[in-house]
Amino acid sequence: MDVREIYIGTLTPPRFLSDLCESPRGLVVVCNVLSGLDEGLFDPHFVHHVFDWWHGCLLHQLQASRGPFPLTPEQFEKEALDALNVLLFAPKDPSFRKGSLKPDFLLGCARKPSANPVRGGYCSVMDVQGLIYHLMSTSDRRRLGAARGVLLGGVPGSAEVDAFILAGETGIALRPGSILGNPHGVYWVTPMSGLRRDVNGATVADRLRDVLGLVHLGEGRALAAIYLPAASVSAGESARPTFADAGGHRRFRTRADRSGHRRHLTWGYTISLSRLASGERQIDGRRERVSRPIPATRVGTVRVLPLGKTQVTRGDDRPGTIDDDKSFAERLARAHHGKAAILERMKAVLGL
Amino acid sequence: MSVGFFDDFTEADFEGWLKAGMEAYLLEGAGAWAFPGAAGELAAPGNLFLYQGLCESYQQLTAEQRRRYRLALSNVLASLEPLDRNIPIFEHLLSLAAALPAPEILRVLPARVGKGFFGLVKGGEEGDLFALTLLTVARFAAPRPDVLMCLNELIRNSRPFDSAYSGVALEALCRADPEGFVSHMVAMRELLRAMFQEFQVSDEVKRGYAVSILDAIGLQRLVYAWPALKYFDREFENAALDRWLVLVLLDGADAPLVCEQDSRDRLHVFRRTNPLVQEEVPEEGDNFLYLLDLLRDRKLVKRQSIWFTPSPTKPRGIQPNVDGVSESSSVEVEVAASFGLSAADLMQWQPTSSP
Repeated sequence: MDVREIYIGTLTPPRFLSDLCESPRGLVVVCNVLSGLDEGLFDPHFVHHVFDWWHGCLLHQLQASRGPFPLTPEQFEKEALDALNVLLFAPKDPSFRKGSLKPDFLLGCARKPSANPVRGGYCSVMDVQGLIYHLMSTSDRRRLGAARGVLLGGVPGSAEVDAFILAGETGIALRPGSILGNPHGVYWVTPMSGLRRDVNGATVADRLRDVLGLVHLGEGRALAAIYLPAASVSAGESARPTFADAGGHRRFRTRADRSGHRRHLTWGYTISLSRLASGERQIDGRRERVSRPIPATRVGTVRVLPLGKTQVTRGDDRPGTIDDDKSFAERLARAHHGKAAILERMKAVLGL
Repeated sequence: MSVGFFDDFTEADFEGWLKAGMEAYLLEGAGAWAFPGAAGELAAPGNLFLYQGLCESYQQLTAEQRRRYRLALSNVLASLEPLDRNIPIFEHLLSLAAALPAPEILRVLPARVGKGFFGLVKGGEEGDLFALTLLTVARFAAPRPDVLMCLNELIRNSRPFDSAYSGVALEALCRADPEGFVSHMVAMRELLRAMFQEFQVSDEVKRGYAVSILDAIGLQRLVYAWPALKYFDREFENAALDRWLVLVLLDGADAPLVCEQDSRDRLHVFRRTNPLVQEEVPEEGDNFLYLLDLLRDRKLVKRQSIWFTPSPTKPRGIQPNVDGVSESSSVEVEVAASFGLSAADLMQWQPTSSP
């Protein structure tokens, strides 16, 4: 038996759980599981099911890995969260659990939104490069590019991105066959109401990125806000996000700080990255929901507002920062009385 | 990236991994699992592009692994069968090459241009493989023969050449072959005119192209070429001309260049930000007079106020004032100030000839 097999053999469900709780990002996921149970978003069976598949997916992934084994805690964290993302947001590898269909863990929240559409519609923030490449019609792109004298076609370069920003608010016809969101994942939206006040000023890209908790969008990213009519989201399935919709997202939290926000049972709340970085006690951002990816045919044309480029990176591990992964995990863990209590409770949930 | 997955990968291993991964991901819908070892990066929230996830995993490789990866990428590009089904693979490989970057593909692209793939143009909203290849090559454009060969093959073999890309093509040609500037202008002249007309291209955008060309070939080469460009056509009123280049470089508050005429009516051109380095426009060729007419009609020639000669260190023909007590006239001080020189700076220098 080689070292890899030995290591994989020791990664039993209890060991998997305890190693998760020892890693900051793993602990964030576990805390969100417990918060979700507390808020009645799903039942323990759902948690059991996700963790069973997650554990299996990780072992399957490690079988293909060449090591070195045993994994360090940092390597374990990366492998585990990669496995969670692959499980949730990618088609199943045919060689993993052959003959079984992968369950759909997305939009699993039991608290369903009402049928009443949200007044004012929704907004989503997206990287401009992705917007141009995936969503913009070729004719719109050609018109923008040639009129502004920039490269166009293929992956957008910085000149094309800058031209898009300079063009200002505009309507774009979505490319036929395109989809808003990851085709295998979910699409995150926030209500438009109250958002306009945040989209003025020189640092609007940073402010919107911060208030929506988009920590993966670091410095120098060109962003745009996409305005969606309410019907385009309500025509499909949408829900309050759970830990399974967030996957390995580094700044997702199930339970809002403010009691007034917690009364909105069918809405999640984003993390305000600026408040987190300032060490504030209350770090609620905006209301959020997830929906299935939205096909272009349901939307047609969307209004898009370029927000400029972000100036600041959030949530990195520079010395002195208080908004790194470890600090965020500790913050969530405090709400559940610490790691030991969390581990005990999760063992009970999973029947370990 | 899965720990250690690529540790023993050879160039051939990377080649097989890339080819099989692209086929599984793009043609079979396999998703992130198509690329074992990089599945986590591909599935990460926020990674919308295939190339993004592959780039992230590439960044985690050692320098030697990256070298093998890039060679493998160019090998796959070289050997990919020119079939309809492989067009998305070709496109994504080009996008990946541009993103890494992998200039190694330049050695294989000339053989692919004009043969096989480039007859399989995808219609509708999917875009044009030619355009993507041109843009990828343009990103690598530098003075190297393989870039020039690629560009010439692309321009020659496209049927028809989309004028929307003519500005990009001209910039890339100038970067790849600065010496051939005039021939590039000749080659792209009609297409540029078509582009400017179809898209109502503003002077600001044209100036962007002109400045890129200036940066690529340098002030001296640009100015020396001016008499060889075309400013007038005796036969055709609507003939394509090169006037736009000179006009956007000299006309307007944002114009980067200034043209002055000295006491002997010679034209000197310099960058607005660096008046100490000037290039003289050669008075030669049939088109020089048309150029002069254009400049005078548009009032783009200023009378020279201070005579500097080109020098990287100090202006020739200007001697330091030995006793340092000469005073400059108020006009000279005002002109000097417009170039960022102080009166004290002027006190140091005495022109050897008056305007």
